[in-house]
Amino acid sequence: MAESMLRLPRVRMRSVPAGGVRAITFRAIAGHPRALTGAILTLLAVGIAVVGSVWTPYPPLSMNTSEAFLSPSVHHLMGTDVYGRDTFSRIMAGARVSLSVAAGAAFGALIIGTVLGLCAGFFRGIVDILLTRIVDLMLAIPGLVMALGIVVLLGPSASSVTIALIAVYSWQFARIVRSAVVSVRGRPYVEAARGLGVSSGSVLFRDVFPSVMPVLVVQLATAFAWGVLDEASIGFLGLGVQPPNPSWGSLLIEGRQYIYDAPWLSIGAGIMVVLAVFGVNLLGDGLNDIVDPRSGAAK
Amino acid sequence: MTTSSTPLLRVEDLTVDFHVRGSRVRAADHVSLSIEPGEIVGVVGESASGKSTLGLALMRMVPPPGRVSASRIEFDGRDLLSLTDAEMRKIRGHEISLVVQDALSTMNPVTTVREQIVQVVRDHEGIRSRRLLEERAVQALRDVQLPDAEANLRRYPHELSGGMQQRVAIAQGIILGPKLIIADEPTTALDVTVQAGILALLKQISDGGASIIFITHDLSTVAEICDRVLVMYAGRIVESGTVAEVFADPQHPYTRGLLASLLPLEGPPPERLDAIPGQPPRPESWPSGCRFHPRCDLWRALGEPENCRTEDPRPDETAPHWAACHYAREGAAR
Amino acid sequence: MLRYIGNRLLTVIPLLFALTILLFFYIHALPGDPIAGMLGPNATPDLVQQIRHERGLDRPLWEQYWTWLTGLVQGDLGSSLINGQSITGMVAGRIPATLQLTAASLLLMIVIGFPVGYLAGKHKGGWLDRILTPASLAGLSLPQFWVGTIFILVFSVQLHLLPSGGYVAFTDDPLQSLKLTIMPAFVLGLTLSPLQARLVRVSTAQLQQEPFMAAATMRGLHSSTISRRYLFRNAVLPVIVVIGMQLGTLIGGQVVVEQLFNYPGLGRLLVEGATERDYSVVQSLILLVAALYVVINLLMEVLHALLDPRVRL
Repeated sequence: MAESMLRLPRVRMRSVPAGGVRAITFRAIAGHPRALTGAILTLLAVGIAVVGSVWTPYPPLSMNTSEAFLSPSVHHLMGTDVYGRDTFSRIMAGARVSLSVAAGAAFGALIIGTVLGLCAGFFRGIVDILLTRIVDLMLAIPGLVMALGIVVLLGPSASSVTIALIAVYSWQFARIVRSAVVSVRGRPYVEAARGLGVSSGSVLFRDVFPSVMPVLVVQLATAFAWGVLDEASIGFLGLGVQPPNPSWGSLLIEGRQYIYDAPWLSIGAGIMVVLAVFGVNLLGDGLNDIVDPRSGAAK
Repeated sequence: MTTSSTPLLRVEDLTVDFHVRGSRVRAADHVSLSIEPGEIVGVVGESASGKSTLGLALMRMVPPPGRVSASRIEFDGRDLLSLTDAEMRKIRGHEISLVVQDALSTMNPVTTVREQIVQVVRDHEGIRSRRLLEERAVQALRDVQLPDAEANLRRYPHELSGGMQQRVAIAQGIILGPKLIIADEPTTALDVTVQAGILALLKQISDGGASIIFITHDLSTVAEICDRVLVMYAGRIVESGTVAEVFADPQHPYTRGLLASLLPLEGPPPERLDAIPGQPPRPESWPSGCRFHPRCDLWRALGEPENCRTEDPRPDETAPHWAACHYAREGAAR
Repeated sequence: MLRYIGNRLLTVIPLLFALTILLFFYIHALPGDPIAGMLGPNATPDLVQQIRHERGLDRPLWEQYWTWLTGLVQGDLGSSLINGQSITGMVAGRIPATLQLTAASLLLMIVIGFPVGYLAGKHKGGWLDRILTPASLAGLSLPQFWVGTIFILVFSVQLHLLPSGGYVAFTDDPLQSLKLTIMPAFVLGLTLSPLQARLVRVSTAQLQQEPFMAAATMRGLHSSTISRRYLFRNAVLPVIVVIGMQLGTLIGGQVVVEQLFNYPGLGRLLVEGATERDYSVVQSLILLVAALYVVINLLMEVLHALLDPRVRL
């Protein structure tokens, strides 16, 4: 390809630092403002969830109708709802369910997607073609719509939302893994190794994983963020966790009923969702920079 | 080739530096040259010799973090360095044109050939009349000997062949009648037969009065159309003279090496291709003293004299044919 | 041109066909009897059997599929499991509203997202560029229902400026129709614009690096010419493709927003069907939505081919 004089002249610069999964250390995260903020927010959300599963300021289910619809105050950080239940406690309790669903969806999709991607990339042939077609198919159906379809069948609950989300997210992971396998497979040294008798399996193993891990880590964070958002959205539509079981989704649909009298539930649960999602998104974005420093130049 | 007392372009001590992450990388080092009206001067060198940077610097288009400095860059009596951006804009494309190797990459992919040629006229001469602009465009294509002008004007750049693209690029460059054309490897990416056509075209343009700075790594093209030649190595001009002088009697070992690596037209094919050993040095690691000495067979033949390693040759640049070598005469004698 | 469209259609049709198979068996392959589930635990087996027969659910599977497929080709989306109504009728009634919201949202998304992304990419490293990444991440983290809720609280409850829900056909009462559409469209457009801005920014920044941009300077063109005819003209091309990519998120968001604003579009229909366990409605709607998504993407590709002379095939 003819070099155009008008491209920026190539001046040798200091070599770009190596990335990869090993680059993810506490120091790396601490040094990156976005990753650090994201990590703090995420830990905050997780912390609330963990704490909320054993202790809340008030028992989340304890009703006290004389204290209904109180505005936020020192006693009730986010006010109370129609039955006098403390909103903040309910949000804390809901955190555990929501984050578990999101985590379950993200990890589940990671596992299934990786397996599918490996099969497609490794076995090639009819398996690969079939899988790519199916992936294209699945990606043609908008995610939330497909998730709704699955949740309808399984009945609304936390586990069905998790399963539905796994079904929706897996394809993205599969695509990533498959393309990584395919690109490594095509490299000359793989042919050479096979010629020497090394099993292609071990070659792929040793070389696919290091190159694909960084992308997977970032995608995992992204999927987790989607998971929180989608759980909340599906719950908001009344098709997820059903009230009075607390999760951010079910709290939102409850909150909507009383939005004119006591919007704190909606606002509060919404804020939690935003914070958690924003935190994970920031963390994912920061991790992306850490594992692949060159991508920062493209930003 | 007129000898007029005022050269069209006079450059003294042109230096281009790139400041990257605290360190300075020099691309061109105190280059001086002058161009007369109507002459074609070849600038020859390998990669990283600074020849392309030279062209960009003359157009004041060296991108940051590059910085250009010179005691003088005088074009047509004007000091280019002191011009404002607006004034420089008027000169680019109008009085000094630049033609580069990959013509397609210089053209807007989503507008027609006509649009691209006409835009240059619009922005410089302010002509708005469609009819007038069309006439100019058709004439421009005829001037570069591109047949079937009307059809080609309607086409998009990617629909043309490499040679045609280069002709369109040249058309854009000459439509306003520039006095100086800087051509950086205009034929390198083209087939040999197409190459000949472009070279002939350039010669014809020069016959019409324009000067051309012809930058290339290919000595054979220099022989075809250039009047004078400057040989560059590691950011410096190491030899300067007319084509006849330099080709017949090269005084710098590097020039001799370049000439030796050309295949002769007549006689039996040589048994070996003489290449200059080693690679041209990168700006960050220019050798001390004479920058060519590590690759110089004359230096080795003379027993590696110390001054080649410590002293930069400073020849008399006013002589018609000079070379930056401590042992230019000895080398010529061998 | 026609050949190009024909080519693309050839890839699309098998996809849709495969979708129908997938969706059909999705309902019938999973355990559980939809009718029994719908009628509740008190239903007698006879009643269940009767309804199953009425809906044609006791015919052999391949026959059911064939009936559905042939119906689809003729535009008949089947009938609701709950009340036997024609789904096509239900859908047709809601199409104008849905289109109005989708179009308005897309428009707002572009109006908000494109200029921001374009300017950020054009002046890379400038202040806009630097705040865009964190700002867009924040924007991407905002759930539509939450933004919508805030909007309702502010504009409907506090300020009484806009109604909080419902729909009026544009042809009946343009002003009121706009008032009812503006909030949901704004919510959707606003939440989608960060991604748009980011994508536009990246492509614009890349364009700035292209040699033809420097070449324009080399030819002494006015900077305004370069901005207009070189940068802008090329920057709009990727946007068209990007819109196709964002469509999926838009559709998902529209489902939520319609629910929040009580907006009678296809999204709400889907949710209603899902809530009532009306699998027939859900199945047909998912197919419809997927088909629309695929077709609109195709349209975007064709549009892109029309505007980019390099893509003429």
